[in-house]
Amino acid sequence: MDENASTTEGQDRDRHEPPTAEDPRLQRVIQELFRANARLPGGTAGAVRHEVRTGELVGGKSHIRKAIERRRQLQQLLRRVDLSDQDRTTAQRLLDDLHAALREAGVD
Amino acid sequence: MRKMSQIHYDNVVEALMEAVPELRVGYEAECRQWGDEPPGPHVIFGDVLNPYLLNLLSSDRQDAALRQVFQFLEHLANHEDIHIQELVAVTVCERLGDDPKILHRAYKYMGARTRQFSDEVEVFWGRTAPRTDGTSG
Repeated sequence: MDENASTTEGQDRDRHEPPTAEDPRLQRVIQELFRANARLPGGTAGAVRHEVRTGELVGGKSHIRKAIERRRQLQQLLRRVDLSDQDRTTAQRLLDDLHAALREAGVD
Repeated sequence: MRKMSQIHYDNVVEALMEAVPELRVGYEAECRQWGDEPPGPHVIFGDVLNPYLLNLLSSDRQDAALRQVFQFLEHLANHEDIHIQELVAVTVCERLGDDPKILHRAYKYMGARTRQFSDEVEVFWGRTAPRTDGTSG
């Protein structure tokens, strides 16, 4: 196995460990974005990246629209909810990750 | 239940509310959080339907309610619009697969197409190996 690729995958996995939140709405978003017991890291953003990089979809179905709608929800949460500093940081990181994955998919 | 031809991506949430009226209170509460901007269908299916469905699947003697939900999901799974199919696959089936016990119970109620989606989702996330005999389920 390519050592560099292995290292990169490990870093990806570390970066995409599901966070937790105090705010119940944000915690629910996290539960919907990230899959338990999955070998593919990164939750919905990771799924979008995987689809873009490999062309592999879920029986022809994509995660892109889900990512777009969850991105909008995180933007709304950051605007409307009185989040703790920690939750705000978590929400912003999730939002940035979805942004980056969607950008890779050619979606602004 | 609405006919397939009457369901479109922009009214699929309303179709869900008609098929499962028990969700309306939760849906309206979610909408109030959003103000003028309506939440997308993936958000409603994920944040309103999924908790309801997981609760049913964790309880005993909820056969009628479970059949009602899975009948609607099968209806959507057979829809020609891929984005409507995605609601079933990447928002509902994915979440059910987070808990093997829940997923196993859900199999009893899934229609053939929903079960196919569930199997595809489990392979995608690496939670199960792909079947090699050309069948799913």
